[in-house]
Amino acid sequence: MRKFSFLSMLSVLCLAINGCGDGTGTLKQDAALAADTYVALDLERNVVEPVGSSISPDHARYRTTHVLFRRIPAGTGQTGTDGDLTQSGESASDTTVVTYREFFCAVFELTQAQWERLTGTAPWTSTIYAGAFNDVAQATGATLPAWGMSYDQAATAAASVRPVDWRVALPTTVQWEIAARAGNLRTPFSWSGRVTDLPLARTFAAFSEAGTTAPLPRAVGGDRRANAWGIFDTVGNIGEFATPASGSLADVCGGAYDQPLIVCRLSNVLPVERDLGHPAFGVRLILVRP
Amino acid sequence: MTWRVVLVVLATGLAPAAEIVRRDLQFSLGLTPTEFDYTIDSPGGTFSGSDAFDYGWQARLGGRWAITSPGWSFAPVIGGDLSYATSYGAGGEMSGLGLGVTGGVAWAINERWSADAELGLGFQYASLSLDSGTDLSGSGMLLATDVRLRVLRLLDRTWSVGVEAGWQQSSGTIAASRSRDIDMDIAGWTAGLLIVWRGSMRPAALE
Repeated sequence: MRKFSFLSMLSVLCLAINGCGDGTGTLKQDAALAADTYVALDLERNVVEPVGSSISPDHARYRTTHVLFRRIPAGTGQTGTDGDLTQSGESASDTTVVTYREFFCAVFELTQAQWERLTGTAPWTSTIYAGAFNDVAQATGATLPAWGMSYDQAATAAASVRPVDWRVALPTTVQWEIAARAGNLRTPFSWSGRVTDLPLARTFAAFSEAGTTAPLPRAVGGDRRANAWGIFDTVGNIGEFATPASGSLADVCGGAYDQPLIVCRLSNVLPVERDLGHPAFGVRLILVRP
Repeated sequence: MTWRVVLVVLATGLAPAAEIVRRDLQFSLGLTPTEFDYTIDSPGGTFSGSDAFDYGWQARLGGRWAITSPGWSFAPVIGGDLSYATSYGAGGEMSGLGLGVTGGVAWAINERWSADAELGLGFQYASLSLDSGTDLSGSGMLLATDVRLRVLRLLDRTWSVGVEAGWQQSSGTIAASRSRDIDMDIAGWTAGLLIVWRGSMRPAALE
């Protein structure tokens, strides 16, 4: 009988060989990590996961068990402000054009829950800060920004997180301002407003003119608006440590809840000793591929 | 026992009764390698790993011509193929059109059975699409090399069927969207079924 069944023979071959192809999904995962706008660091499993490009950052895990990062594409940007010069006291010569490689910037300031998960410590409970507020309990809460640590402690905490093939760090001062400006080079802030436009500023930032009560750090994100790249609280709330290009000091960027808006402008950097903690100093992390 | 089998096969091959003929058009359908290594080169860094598609198959249409003389059981054989291959799974799909040339030897085992061994070299214009959170897709040229063993059985004066198996390696760079490049290196076993049409059984000319 010469009748050959082409398809039946192919079926046999399929059964024999297809076992070698059970996709693991790692190309898909890596492609997402290489292209998605957002990734998240799982603080429990110490892994970086793709999240997507259109997400709602409101999920509680991004303030507790995960740190949400936003991709900042490589490019050329500017630090310093060349607009609103008379009010900020800066001149055009203060601006610097910088070229930077791609990195991920945390969408939120690091919360107290995240800091405790990272380090097992709570510097805001130190007795040295007992008199920092009328009631320090009002500055304590899982989703409030972590505060009170020094730059050295923050850098050590960041370096202690070692997801495979990634590096977690504090931003350089340039990286911080690039992410904070979100492409807005013309004004002191990430929004197109003047330093006197307090009602507009209150929609983005927590600063000392913003409320009638004694200034306090507020829950990260909260009801405030993000900048154009989806990053919250770069202006005000808690001052954020950054690493300057040179020198033995650390930079604190973005002002804080207890400072007037003009002090919170993005180009204003406060140099501090690296072992100095303060109730207005906190942390924003970045994520890079080594 | 094994050496006896080898002797019988060799003796059969050297017997003058079978004469090799290849003036074939052939169509094959088969399985392609599914496992691959990859490197994604992005502005933020590189991502490397190994993965596998769930399935991969290839359709090939080509021709083979044996350079032979009367009485030859062995002869060099050359040919060329047009191919279409597709692989899917691993969160995406890759497909491509290819063009390749082959060279090898053909052997008439007896009047009905023959076998080929050949090396192939070709290019494939491949498109890759990944359904990650952010669509990442692109296309590029893969260089493919392969080695194949083929056994054919003559059904009548015109038609033959056969099976083939081999090893194939394809590598190249897919230029993907969002300024990402994906280096792909796909390697593994192949297997397929063929149907062959021979326009003429006329023996080679004596002169």
